[in-house]
Amino acid sequence: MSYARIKSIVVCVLLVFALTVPALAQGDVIKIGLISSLTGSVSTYGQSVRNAVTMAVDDINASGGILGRQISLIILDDKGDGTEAAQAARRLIDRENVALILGPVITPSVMAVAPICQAAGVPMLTPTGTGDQITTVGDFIFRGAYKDSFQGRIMAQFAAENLGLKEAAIIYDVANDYSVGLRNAFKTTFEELGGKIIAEESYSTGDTDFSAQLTSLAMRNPQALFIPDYYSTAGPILMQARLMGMDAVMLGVDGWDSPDLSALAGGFEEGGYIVNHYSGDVDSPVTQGFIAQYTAAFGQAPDALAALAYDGVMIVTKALEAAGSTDPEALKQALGTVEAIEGATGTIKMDPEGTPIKSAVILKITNGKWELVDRIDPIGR
Amino acid sequence: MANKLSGLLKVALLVLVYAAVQFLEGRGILLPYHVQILSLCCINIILVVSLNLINGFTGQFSIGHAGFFAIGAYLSAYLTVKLQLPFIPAIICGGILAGLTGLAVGLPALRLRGDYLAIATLGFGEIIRVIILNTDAVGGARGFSGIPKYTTFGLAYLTAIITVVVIRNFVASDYGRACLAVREDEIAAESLGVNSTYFKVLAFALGAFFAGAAGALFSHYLQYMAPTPSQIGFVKSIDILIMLVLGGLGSITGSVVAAIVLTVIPEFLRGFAEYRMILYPILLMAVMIYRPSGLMAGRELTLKGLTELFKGAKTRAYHS
Repeated sequence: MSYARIKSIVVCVLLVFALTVPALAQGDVIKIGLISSLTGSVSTYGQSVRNAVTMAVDDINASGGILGRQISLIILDDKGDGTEAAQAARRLIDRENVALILGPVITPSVMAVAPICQAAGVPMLTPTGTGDQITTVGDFIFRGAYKDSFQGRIMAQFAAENLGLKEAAIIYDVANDYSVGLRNAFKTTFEELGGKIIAEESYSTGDTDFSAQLTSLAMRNPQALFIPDYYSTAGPILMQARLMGMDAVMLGVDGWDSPDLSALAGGFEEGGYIVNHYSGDVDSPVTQGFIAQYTAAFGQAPDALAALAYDGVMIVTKALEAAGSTDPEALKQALGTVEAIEGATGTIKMDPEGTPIKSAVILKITNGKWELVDRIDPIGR
Repeated sequence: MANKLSGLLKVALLVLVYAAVQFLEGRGILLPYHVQILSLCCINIILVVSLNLINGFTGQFSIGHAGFFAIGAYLSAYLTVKLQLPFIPAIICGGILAGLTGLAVGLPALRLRGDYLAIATLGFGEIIRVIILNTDAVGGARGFSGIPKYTTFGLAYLTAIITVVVIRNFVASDYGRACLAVREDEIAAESLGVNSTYFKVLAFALGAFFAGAAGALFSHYLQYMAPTPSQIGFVKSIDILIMLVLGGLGSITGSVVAAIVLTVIPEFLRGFAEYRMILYPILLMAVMIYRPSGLMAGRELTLKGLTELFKGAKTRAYHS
């Protein structure tokens, strides 16, 4: 055999070896796995989450760790893809023997990881997943953000009660779970509170021209237009609607929260309202401390995802302290019952179903900046 | 006699691989993590080998393979979740519906050639995805959750073997020769009496059948199907195509090797975080530069070839 061939065989053998040998057991640390989308189409979300989690964990370790043990954080990328997220979860559970999994970031990935964690009996907490169905997978599955349906309800409540609106129209993405869920929740609550949805139009993910739908909506002359979608789509809709002469109040969701919204909407987002997880204006020492520390460490202001991820670590820390060990059963119990957690997004209380109970904020775009208008506490769930 | 012996040897080897996996898993050396990757390798082998029949052997450039995959995945999940059908009949139903769809799509679409066919199949794949997206019975945009975990390594392995054997035998048969003739020169094949439409559609439907079966295995492997492009849309189709081209069009062993390599590599690179999706394409580019016609370049890796390779290497070593 030639030298090159022997060399290639040796390399192959080494590669196989690297895959099969379990990671060496480390000393007395608490292992926490983080699955985040560091690459792929939602990579900015994943990087914010990774930054905030790393920062929070470093702080905890610097101040002596939890239960007298340091936290060892293992970060794996899932590309925002369910198949990859499932592989990452198995790797964290089987090879790294983590006590808990943080993440993934977006709902499709979470839904692929949840059954694995549930079957393996490893608690998981997605700091950012808002899909309603996530926590129905089982009792080991938790989240740190509110549900889509809650967000839709809050916006409807704000529109009907605080703004006193009677008639609204909706334009939504029929191909996006997030958008459809928000639209359903908004519609139900708005009608319950005596409002009327006078017109509805839909489009599909990837569409860029909304003039047909907007023309039809503009003819009905609604008081408000609800646009439950991400900033990349909401921006162009806002611009096209205003240029068409629509003067309705624009209502949005947490997906609008991006520095890019203004460029995409051409400044026409002015005056719009959104529901969000957090506002940098909230005058709480934890929030302000978080913003200052994050800005100093990463050179940019934290977005809502970073704040949620930071709070995810806070919830987990509190639960680990309450459980007194990393025993999955005890940890699961603790995650469902911890309360009075002071996080960057406000005061958090977990419910046994797995979703936090916390207030949402309403922001208004005034002179190009998000300004805090109101904090709304949940009415029923 | 020699043929029979090598056949037995192959079966023995395949059984040995399965036994080894079972043994190592029982001993705790192979973790569920590794077995999960192996199962995914098998599912990808089925997808790539079945696409090879269409693209590699029959020369019909299809990039809608994820559509058939999706049909199998969703139908089988619907059958096991909503109608409590056992898994194996559900796999077969998924495969059959995908195959029938292949037939229905293939008849009109395969009149097109080259780029036009590629676009038509791409469109078909997106139609399937949009239909699923708007079908509430399978979860619509929410995705289909709560699918039981029925896919075991053994089942995926067996299905992959069946796929490889069936497609290999098909290609070696009269039908397969006709498909190859269509690939090489459709007009010449027609003039020799080969009904090119018939063979193109046949290969298309057969490939679609196995893609459907792979889909069924996949949905009961991941336990959740999301109607996203990377799961059942054009991104998935392109992923399969990359594996096929990397392995070499028209080589079954090439498809098998590439499916395994490209399933395992992202796992190795997972620790590199942001740099992972830079390293992976670099590897792909390196292969395409140094082996432009794929790892196997239309050749097959056989037991006989292997022994000759080693003998050849030995003789060469003597001479040098």
